[in-house]
Amino acid sequence: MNANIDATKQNTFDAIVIGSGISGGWAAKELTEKGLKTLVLERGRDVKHLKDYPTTNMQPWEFPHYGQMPKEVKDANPVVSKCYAFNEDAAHFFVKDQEHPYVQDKPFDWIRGYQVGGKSLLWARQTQRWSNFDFEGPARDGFAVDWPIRYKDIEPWYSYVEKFAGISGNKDGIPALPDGEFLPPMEMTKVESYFKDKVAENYKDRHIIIGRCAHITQQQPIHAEQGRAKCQHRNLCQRGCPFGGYFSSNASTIPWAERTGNMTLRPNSVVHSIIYDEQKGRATGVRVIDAETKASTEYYARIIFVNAAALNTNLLLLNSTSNRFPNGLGNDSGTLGKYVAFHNYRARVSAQYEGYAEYTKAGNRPNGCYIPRFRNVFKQETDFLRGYAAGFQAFRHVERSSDGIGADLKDNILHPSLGVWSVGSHMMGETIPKESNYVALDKDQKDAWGMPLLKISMDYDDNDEKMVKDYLEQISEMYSKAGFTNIQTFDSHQAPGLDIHEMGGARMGHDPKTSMLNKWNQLHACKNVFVTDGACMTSTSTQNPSLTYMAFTARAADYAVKQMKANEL
Amino acid sequence: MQRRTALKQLGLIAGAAIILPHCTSKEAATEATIKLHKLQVSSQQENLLATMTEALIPKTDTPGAKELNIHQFVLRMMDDCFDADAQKKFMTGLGQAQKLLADKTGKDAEDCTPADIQALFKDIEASKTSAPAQGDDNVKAFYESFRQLTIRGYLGSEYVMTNVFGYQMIPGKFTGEVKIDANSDLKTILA
Repeated sequence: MNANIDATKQNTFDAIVIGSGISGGWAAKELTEKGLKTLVLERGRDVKHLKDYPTTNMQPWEFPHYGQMPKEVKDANPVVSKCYAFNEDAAHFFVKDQEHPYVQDKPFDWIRGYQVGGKSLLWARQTQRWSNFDFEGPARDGFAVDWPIRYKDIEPWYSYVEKFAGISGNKDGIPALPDGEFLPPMEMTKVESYFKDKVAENYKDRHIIIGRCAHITQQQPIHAEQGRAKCQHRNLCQRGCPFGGYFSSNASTIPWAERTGNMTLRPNSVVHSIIYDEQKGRATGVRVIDAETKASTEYYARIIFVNAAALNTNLLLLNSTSNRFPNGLGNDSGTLGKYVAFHNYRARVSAQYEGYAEYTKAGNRPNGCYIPRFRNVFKQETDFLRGYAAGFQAFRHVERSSDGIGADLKDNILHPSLGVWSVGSHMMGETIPKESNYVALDKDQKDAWGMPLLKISMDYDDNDEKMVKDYLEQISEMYSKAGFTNIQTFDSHQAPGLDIHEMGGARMGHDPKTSMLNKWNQLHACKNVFVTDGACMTSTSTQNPSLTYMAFTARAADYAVKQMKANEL
Repeated sequence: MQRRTALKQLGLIAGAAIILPHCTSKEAATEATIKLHKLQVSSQQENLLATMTEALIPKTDTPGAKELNIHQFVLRMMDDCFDADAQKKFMTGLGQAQKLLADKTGKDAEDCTPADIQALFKDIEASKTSAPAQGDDNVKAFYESFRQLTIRGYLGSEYVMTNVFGYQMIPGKFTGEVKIDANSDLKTILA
């Protein structure tokens, strides 16, 4: 009996954070800084900054296949092999298909990173703020439900996380893309600047800007305190950065939380479910399956932050059933798992530019240019809802003849020259959350840890098709007006998923009847559980979402601790 | 137990003694120096392949492909990154090239000089336009992947990347606009 009480005490914390990726890391940092003894549960292995980046200092020729994945690995992993970053230098940070199966009710390429730091090691580091044009979107255009917050609610929290993470960018003064707390911007190439000017000449509301990205371009004291230095432009971010030049949980929030002395990090901990106590009317803890031994343990806390990554957060909530919540924790509305959405990354437009032959660039830029959404921003003007942002870049093409045999061939390949400018753009389209796009528990199949497999059923719709067409037309027209030639459009028709921007399923909203979370990211029906990862998203906007998850998390943690202190939680 | 081991070893030696006399020194099939999983490559074939890479990219004022062991990259890539059909074509084609060399020069393939091999490569490239006989298919398939992998291996080698192209893992910064002219060197152009 005493042993049991001791064990319970030992397993009791002030807070539990489920997941250590980009939002879980922030929950860990905020809660521990505010003095809460916090248990951070991560289903994968530990990855310590610097120590566990095995490839970070490898030269390109030191990889046995110069980076290319062996055919056997590709054949065994058809899904993750589609991801642009699944190469010899970073493959160890990706989930392999066979290890963690899921059910594709419709084709969906689910890219995951199961380790401390999650996908924050692998992300593309683009950090654009949302604006009221995004938060007001569902209400204005009549889809999903109204966001329970507006830009002013999140604005100070954007500033708060930006200062700590280190965001490089230019204050562009664009209404659809609010400026932030920026470190110096990265430079644009000659033809990128030229395109910016040409677009400004031809279109009142279209802008080409340098991407805002989570790279330290000028170290501030707060970065030095984290042990992070200026980005050295290696452009090898996916390996983990030895300088901490870009923001990841591993380089930033997790070691910060550790230093408070208030964090207990438990890797290899698969959270099976959240325990709901009907007498107390609250969640009391979590059931954890040890990933290695498969032993089951319970941990307890006053508040629980769910940051398992969007779809896995849905899986966990759906699997957390009780008499009170037979369809998943907090799921009185029946919306849990539904209204999931993503970003449409299907389309690209490439071209060439013959001018500025006397210019090139020097060094690498782990960033690109960005075209903020210009469609349907101020009012509805097309036959589809919402719009798209786009990436853009222009570099000189390197030409190299490989004609000849012997000394001739050698001479040719060792004397490359600069060809015309190659320009390229990719689409990042907003998709509309719908009840028919959903995730659910598979009724029969379970994984090696006894968790039901997640069934994913997401697809494009007519709105997405119209948007792809419009993107291809509009970018082509913008290229034409800039005098670009050889304009080519591509639609990859790729399945949803490779954007790695899956969102929703536990959306925020005013009304408990139609949403899962309130304006503080609390479950309407179980107030001591907070969901602040991608699952909380009511709509998707066009901006890369991670910065918004960070801001939501810091804001919710602040609220949670204030409520605890006021004995409201 | 020890006795059994000793007997086993004796048996192995005896077995080797039986097999060895059947091989002349030239044919002795020893394994390639690089560890391969799928391809069956003898050390003779490996040597020939090394000479072939040198014929394709010879030593001049900079090292040739043989000195940089590019044939190992070629074999490793073919072994790990290609499908069974491409591997089969590569190996059959290599065998056919060996025979073509012997027929053309009257020498064993491994005694052929880079010049002999360059002459064969020229034949293979020249016949590209004519409709190939059935047997030629694999020589061409071999040559095309061999050529492409050798060039890739050479350009990606430490020597070429650092000494010729000035590769730097840590550039330190990015400059968006750099002016160049006809006198700009390769390292400026490729920076």
